[in-house]
Amino acid sequence: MSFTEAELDNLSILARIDIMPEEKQKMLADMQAILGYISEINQVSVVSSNLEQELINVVREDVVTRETGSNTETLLKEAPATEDGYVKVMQVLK
Amino acid sequence: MQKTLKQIHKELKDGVITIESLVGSHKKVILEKDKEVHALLGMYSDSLIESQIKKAKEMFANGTATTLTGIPVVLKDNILVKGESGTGGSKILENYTAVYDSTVAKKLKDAGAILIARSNMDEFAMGGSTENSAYGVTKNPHDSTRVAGGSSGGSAAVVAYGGAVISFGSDTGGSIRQPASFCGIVGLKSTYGNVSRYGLMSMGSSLDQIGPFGNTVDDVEEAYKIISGNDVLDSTSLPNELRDKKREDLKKVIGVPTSFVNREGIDKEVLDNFNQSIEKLKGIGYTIKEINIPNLDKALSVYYIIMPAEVSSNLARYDGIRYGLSHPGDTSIRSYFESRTAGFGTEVRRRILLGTYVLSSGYYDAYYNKANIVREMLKKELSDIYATGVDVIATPTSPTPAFKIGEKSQDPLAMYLADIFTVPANVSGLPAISIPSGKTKDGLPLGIQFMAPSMREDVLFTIGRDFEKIY
Repeated sequence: MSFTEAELDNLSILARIDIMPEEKQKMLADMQAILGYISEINQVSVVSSNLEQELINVVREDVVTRETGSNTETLLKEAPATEDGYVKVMQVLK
Repeated sequence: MQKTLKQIHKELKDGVITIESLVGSHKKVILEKDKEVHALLGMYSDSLIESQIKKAKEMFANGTATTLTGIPVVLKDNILVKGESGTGGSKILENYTAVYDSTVAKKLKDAGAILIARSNMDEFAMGGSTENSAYGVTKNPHDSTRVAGGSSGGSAAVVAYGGAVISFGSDTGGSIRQPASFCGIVGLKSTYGNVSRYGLMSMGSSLDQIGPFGNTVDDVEEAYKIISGNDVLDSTSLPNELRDKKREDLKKVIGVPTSFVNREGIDKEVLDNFNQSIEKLKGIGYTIKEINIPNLDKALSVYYIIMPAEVSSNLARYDGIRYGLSHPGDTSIRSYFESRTAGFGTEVRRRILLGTYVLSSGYYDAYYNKANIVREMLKKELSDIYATGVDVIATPTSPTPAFKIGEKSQDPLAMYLADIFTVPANVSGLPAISIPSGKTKDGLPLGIQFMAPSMREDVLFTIGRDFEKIY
């Protein structure tokens, strides 16, 4: 199995991360080396299917504990663009 | 020789020293040393430091002082402190101010600790050397041509050079224990779910734990006691009924996975030092048992599948819209690309891509699912070993002493392989500690790691104290 440049391009789109032309070959080679190593996981033969995780879901009632809007100003201060108490984004639908 | 936490506490209590002079003397050390070492990314605001000094004085006056009251502490820059900067070592959060306190910061404030500075780290805790910090590398206080380790390299270095008595880091695959070992101090990663992750910038959510650095096992234990405990704000926090389980007595048996330790790539001095440590433990009455854990050497692959998978999900939050760096593009979707490409460094981008790959349809079963199965197999193998009467499993903390700056930075796989001894504790959720075990002939610190069963940090402290006495 070898990881291809086309796969790298596809991952870039899925992850919303550009890969610059000048770094592409290095990124490809590094990914191939890492994937080559971690593929050893496939050598492990699974003998027992009795490996249920002892995990439980932790849930609670959804209770409002703060007054509506009490954090709005603080949070909006961190947003790159705001307008009238909202986070401003670019047009999504044409 | 640094004073211990208990000694300083007594001096503060008896009025031999004042909190102001203690804080002042540490700030002075930082001013002298940090220009060279670069352990810190910034000091906390004067108003925070002053309000904590005031609080600490009141606690001494009214008899509610804890061992951390009045003690200067440093936090890794991925642990949020309300109203203070928190960059996570990333450009994408260069101008970010935390809007709330992490539970650990809150517990430290309540305990009267003096939060003085934020420490350097690999970007979003991804790395083993702090070379992936967007703000420059932290140098090893023992040799400035070498790394301090990582990702919590700044927190380790600042305690090692005497700029703080206690510091805190986070450990996802060894990021507390490895820099502790490289810098010659003690570092603890507790049982998964023991210390709240609320307000810790998420990296690998099923692996991350915040933990303390200190000069001695006693210091680390005191700090650990203050930050641990159930937290309703962290849904993965261990419930109290699982914390209070029956503690079996120490059998004084140490398991050594000999074939796993004697591996290709381990430094000869590290191996010799480890073998000497084991002999010394025998000398004080410990029984050494050779153990074999079939999938222990697969922990690294499991880790480098599960961790990037979780990274790729967790870091989707950095979108350039709600907070952090924003580079608007021609369209809204291009804005994600522009902001994330400008804001993330190479290693972070690589791990997001890797995680996206192992989670993508077609590869999910071969990688992510398989890794989860092997993770459960390894957990079972480990609990079976402990059930045979082994108190802890001992290995070196790192296969090499601190490496040269630049030595591994262009070879990510070589950097990953350095995590071989530390990742099993994260993958299995078990507590583990790194304790200084001597130095190489060139004077570089080395560390030994002990890993205990779930919620048996007490065993690590007991054996750790015994080990300190023979070194």
